[in-house]
Formats: sequence, C-alpha cells, structure tokens
Amino acid sequence: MAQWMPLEKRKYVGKKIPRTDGPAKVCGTAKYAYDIVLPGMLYGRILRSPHPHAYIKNVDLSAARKHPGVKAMIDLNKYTVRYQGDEIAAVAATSMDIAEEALRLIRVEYQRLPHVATEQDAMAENAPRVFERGNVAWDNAGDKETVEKILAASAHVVEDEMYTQVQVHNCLEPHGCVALWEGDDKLKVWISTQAVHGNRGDFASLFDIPEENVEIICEYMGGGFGSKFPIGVEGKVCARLARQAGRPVKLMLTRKGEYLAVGNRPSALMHLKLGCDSAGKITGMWQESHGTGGIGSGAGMPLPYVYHVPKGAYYKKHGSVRINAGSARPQRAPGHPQAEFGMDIIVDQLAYKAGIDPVEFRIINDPNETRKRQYKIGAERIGWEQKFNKVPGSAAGHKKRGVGLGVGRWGGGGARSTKVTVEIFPDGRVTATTGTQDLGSGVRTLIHQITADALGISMDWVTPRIGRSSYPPSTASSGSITTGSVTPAVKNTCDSAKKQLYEKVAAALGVSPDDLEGANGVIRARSDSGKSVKWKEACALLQGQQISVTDGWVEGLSSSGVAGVQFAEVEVDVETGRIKPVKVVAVQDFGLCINRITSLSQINGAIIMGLSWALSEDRTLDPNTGTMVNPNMENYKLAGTMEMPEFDIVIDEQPERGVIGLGEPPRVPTAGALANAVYNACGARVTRMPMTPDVVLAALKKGGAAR
Amino acid sequence: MANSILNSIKRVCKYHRSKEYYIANLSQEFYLPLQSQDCWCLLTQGVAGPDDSLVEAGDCNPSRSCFRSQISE
Repeated sequence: MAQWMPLEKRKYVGKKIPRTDGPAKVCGTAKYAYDIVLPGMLYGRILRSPHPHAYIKNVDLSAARKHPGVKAMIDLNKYTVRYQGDEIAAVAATSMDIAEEALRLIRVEYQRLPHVATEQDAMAENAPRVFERGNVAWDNAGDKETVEKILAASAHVVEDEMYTQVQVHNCLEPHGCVALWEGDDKLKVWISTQAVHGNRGDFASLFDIPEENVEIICEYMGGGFGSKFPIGVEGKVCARLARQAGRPVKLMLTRKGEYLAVGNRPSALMHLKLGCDSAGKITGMWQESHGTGGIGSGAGMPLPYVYHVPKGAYYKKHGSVRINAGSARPQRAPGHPQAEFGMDIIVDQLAYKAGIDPVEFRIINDPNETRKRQYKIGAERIGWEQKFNKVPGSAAGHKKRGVGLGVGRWGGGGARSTKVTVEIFPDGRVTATTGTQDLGSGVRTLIHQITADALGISMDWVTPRIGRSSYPPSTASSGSITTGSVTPAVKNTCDSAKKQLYEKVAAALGVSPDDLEGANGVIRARSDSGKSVKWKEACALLQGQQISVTDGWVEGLSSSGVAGVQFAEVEVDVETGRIKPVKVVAVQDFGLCINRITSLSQINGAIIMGLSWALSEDRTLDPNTGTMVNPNMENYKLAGTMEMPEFDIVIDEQPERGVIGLGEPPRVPTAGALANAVYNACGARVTRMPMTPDVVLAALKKGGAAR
Repeated sequence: MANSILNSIKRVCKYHRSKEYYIANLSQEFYLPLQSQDCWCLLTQGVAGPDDSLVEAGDCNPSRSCFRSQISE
C-alpha cells in the first residue's frame, strides 16, 4: 500500500505554502477564458426569453442578418420556453455592442402560456404544467402512522417549519468560452469549466469529431461551485457560431444570464417533528417537505441529517417541485446545507425542551466519534460555558448576544482514472503535469509541494502544469474529490520517476538504488553518507536524455468521509432586527492537510458563502410575471467584508487517513449555527432564510421574545 | 451478470449527462444514471431533451424518439 512521505521528509507538505499562482493572479498574467482575445475574434450573445412560459411561434432573424457587423446567427429551433432566460437564438458580431444590437433586431413571436413561479402555485390542483408529466416528483419513506405513534409516546416532542431560499452560484467569472476551429474537424476551446476532460468528450460528441481533435484549455477559472460541468448552451452555440463564421468567437454570459440560466441551489420548505425520551435520545422523526430546483428535478435533501433516528422511526414525504424558473445545478454540498438548517434547528428546539444543553444533546445523538470530539473543541473555542444563555434572550439591553452550533458531513474520495506525467530534465528542472482544473482547492500549489517533497528537492526546481485536455486525464472537480484524486497520482508518479533517476545515480556511485534517499536537494547512500550527489549533478547524469513517467492514482493515500462542526456567536438588535455575526468557530477534519493556507482559504470561503446565504441572498421571482426581480449584483445581496465576523478555524488533523477533499464540507453547518445563535441571543426562533431584519422582527413579534 | 450490465448500459442514452457521468469511476465501474437529480441532455444542454420532454435519471431510454444508445448494435 502506498504511503505519504514520513513527517521528517515533509519540507512543504502540511505547511503554510503561498499559492504558486498567486503572483500571476495578482499581476494579471493569469489568463482566464474571459481574458482570451484572438485575432479576428467575434463576440457572441444569446437571445433569451423574456417570458416564463411560452410557445415559440416564429423566430425572424432576417433584420439582424442584414447588419454588416453580424457574421453568424443561430436559431435554436426551440418549440417551448419554460423560464425567463431560456435560450432562443444567438449571434456573433464584430463587437459586443453590435452583438447586443443584433439581438434587438431579432423578432420572436411568442404564444404566452400560464406559468407557475412558486412551489405553492405549482402544487395547486389544475396548476399549469411545466412538463407534461406534472409538477411534483414525490419521494416517500417510512410509515406515517407508526412514526406519529412513536412521537405521541415520546417524553418530548417539537414541531416547526423551516424554509431555505434559492441561492444562485454567483461565479465571478461567468460561464462561457472562446472557440476556435482549425480546419473542419479540429476545435480549440478556452472555457471556464470544472471538467476539462469531460468537456473535451462533450464537444467531440456534439460535433461528431474525434476526441483527440478537441483541445480544452482552462488554466485558471473564476469559480464554479458545481455549476460548470456542462459546456452549456453558451459553449455549444459559441462553437457553432465560430464554425459558421470561420472565425474565433468569444461568448461569455452576461451577469443577468448567470442569474437566470446556469443553475442555483434549490429551495426547501421543511415541516418537521422530532421526539426524544427523557434521557434525550431521539425517538422518531416526521418530515413533510418540498423544494424547487426550477424546471429541473434536483430538490432532494439528505434528511434526517447526521443524528441517529432509530430504524423504522422516520417518516418522509418530500416533493421536488417544478416551477417556471431556471434549472438547479449542483452547488457546493448539494442538499446538505438545506438539510442541516432544518435538522439543526429542530434538534436545538428539542434540546431546549428536554432541558439538555444543546451541545450535550448532540453528543448524545450523534453517532460520529470525530464530531463528538469536535463538539467539545468548538464549545471551548467559542466560550460556550460563559456565553450560552440558559434563558435565551435574557441578556440586558437591546443588543443581545448568544451562541449556537451546526454540523456537517461529506464524502470526498479519489478517482482512480487520474493520471499524471512527471518529467525530469538533465538541467534539474521537473514538470508535473495533469489535466485537472483548479476549482478553488489550489491544486496547482498542492502538485508543486508534493512533487518537491517526493523528490527531496526545492520547489524552485518544479513547474506544475494543469488545465489542458492535452495533458494526462484527470477527473472532473466534483464532490470534493480533486485533491483526493490528483495528489495520490502525483506522489505515485514522482516515486516512479525517482526510481528511474536513482538507478542512474546508483550506477554512478556504485551503490544499490534501494540504498539511496533524497532530501534537501541531495541524494545520498544510507550506508555511506560520503557517497552523494546534488540534485543538479544527479540530473546531469541523464546526459541529454530525460525521464518521463506517466502513472496514476493509487490506493492508500486518500480516503473519504469527513466531519465538521461550527459554532457561531451573534449579536441581535431586537429593535432593528439586524443580526451581526460576531465570531464563527469551525472545527473541520479532512484527513491529511497538504497546505494550511489553501485549506484555510477553502474553509473561510465556505463560511462566507454560508453566512451570505443565511443572512441576505435571495433569488426573488415575481409570482405574477414569473420573472426575477433581482438578476444583478446590486439587488441580489451578497454579503461583503463588513458582514464578516472573526473566524477561528481549527484543522482537526487525521493524517493517518490520507488526503480528503475540503471544498464542500465546511459550507454545510453555518446557517444552522447562526439561526441557533440568534435564538439563544434573543429568544425568538428564526426559521426562515434569509434572516433579514424584517424576518427577525416578525419572529420576535410572534415569539413574544424579550425586547 | 456481464450481459445484464451491458444491457443496462445499452438502455442509457449516449447524450444523457449528470455530474456523476464525469466521475463515474469514483465509486462504480459504469455510469448508470438511476438516482441522479440534476441531469441534462448533451444535445440541448438543458433539462428538456430534443423531444421537448424532461431529461431524468432512468428516463432517457429507448422509449423516447431522441434516444441514441451508448453502445450501438
């Protein structure tokens, strides 16, 4: 079984190493798809439906076609549009302005159809149908009557309704690409994607050309969060426009397009009941819920979340509801934050009702040993003993503080298909190359660190290369598996390349290759430390040749399954309803930490995303028109630096488990922790997101809490 | 068993996509989309297929006019 290098051989792994590509990003030399400009390049734009539901009776491109600046046009031949923003046609023109102008010249004849813009409307009897098969897909489990009997016999029971709103991905770099045809059957695409090799296959299938004739380039990307697996309509039409025009085309979405058409996190309305015995052990759980992923189907949630509910004591009726809005796409821990918000609030309520400290209640009901330990760490770091209000809302004054907690779990793992090429050159330079993409893990830096440590040399010798489909295949970045896929492959390939170099060195020193070890840029014999060569000397022994090894992922260096908890301290102004997050403590395990800076970045970013979702973000549809009223960064409220509290991150290291991905798990616990802290601060249960001042004031009024 | 898997794969449209398609070899040998929630069609790049019906796990099968098998006869 493969193993990571021993602790004493880790000069870079596990340390605070700044991002290898940090200077390039700061100085602007890092080129994103958005930055690419090619000679003769055209600019693409997509015409979208202004209506939430309509038949397309006719699309007239003739006026636009006459515009001298328009070089290519496509009618997508759609029969039905099902959401505001659904794509109808596309143009490529000599400038962005002309492309926009051309869109305005396209005449579309719509036959408006009735729409549904809320879950309630979509679930109503005789509601207009988004698709023929109906608007709701039900998912049932357990026996309702049995669970109701269990709850009736329980010592304590709580019941409430929790709501989480739709969240849009908000990638700073929009979806899109630049497409360049080189002849009839060779395509080169600079694209913002989280699936370099997946996109190569998709473009090849779509245009029926050999996969090896497609080159995908994504050396840098400005966020994906789960929404950038597909090439998208924008990718498809960009390549078609380029082929039609015989010129390269850039088509990056507008910000409005981003909000309407390329994914979101579904909503969730959860009506929950939870019971426990007199010792605080959960006895049963009752759930009736629904959510919407727009016209798509992805509104499921993993309830009951984390805590143990006895077998046969769980009842669920969950509906994935289709409405006339842009389809959901996977978003950073799909389903988990919604489930956590509902579960952690109802668990918190039950703890208070049973008269058991919420931390202790979780320790009683959470079967995960790692989290049982993390609860204690988090409680100490937030100052639970001193800050927890035994009587919620009892603090004096109108600005009241309180604490609460939430939990998370995730899978991760590694894709065995991942391949890496390591080359060692006679002048001492080393390249480590794989076709992965950096979705945010800092994988370029991780490759850099591991290569240097595995070969026992300075990072200065190493150049990591990622983001091209011409590089060895790597998996899509999905489910927090990038690090668990790439880093074992890098370590394994470095070991194979090192073996070849050591055979040369051994012959020169007159020792066995197995007798050699490398550290600090020197390769020496263990049996005779006088026999050694510097790295540069060793590589010179290659005498004009180079070592080039392609190898792949191996068992033993990564695993899956992580646990985390977060504690929040908030201040609630009971006069204005404003919530001010004061501090968030995150205790997160992810096995072996390769880089403390990039790991902290991942956790910080996840908490920020969770805070922003909990406090302000909201994709708002007008039910009457079925259109989004805030498709821009001015009115869709992303939390900014002024909303951010102090972060206290605890890396709960378990290096013996190997590498496990970190992108998604810390995104999960934040909203529940905040909501529970709000209750502890002011005595009012805020069960609806975003927890804006009006929502807090309504909860205060309803709950009759201290003001 | 081998024939059973082969037959199952034959009944999955070559244009059906979900994120699991891109990481199929993480936990299983083959991509058999039975549980995927967020699916799309490669041809339309949307959740409606070329037949204007919904793309769903398990539903992109030979019963649809736009179906194309991953393994052609």
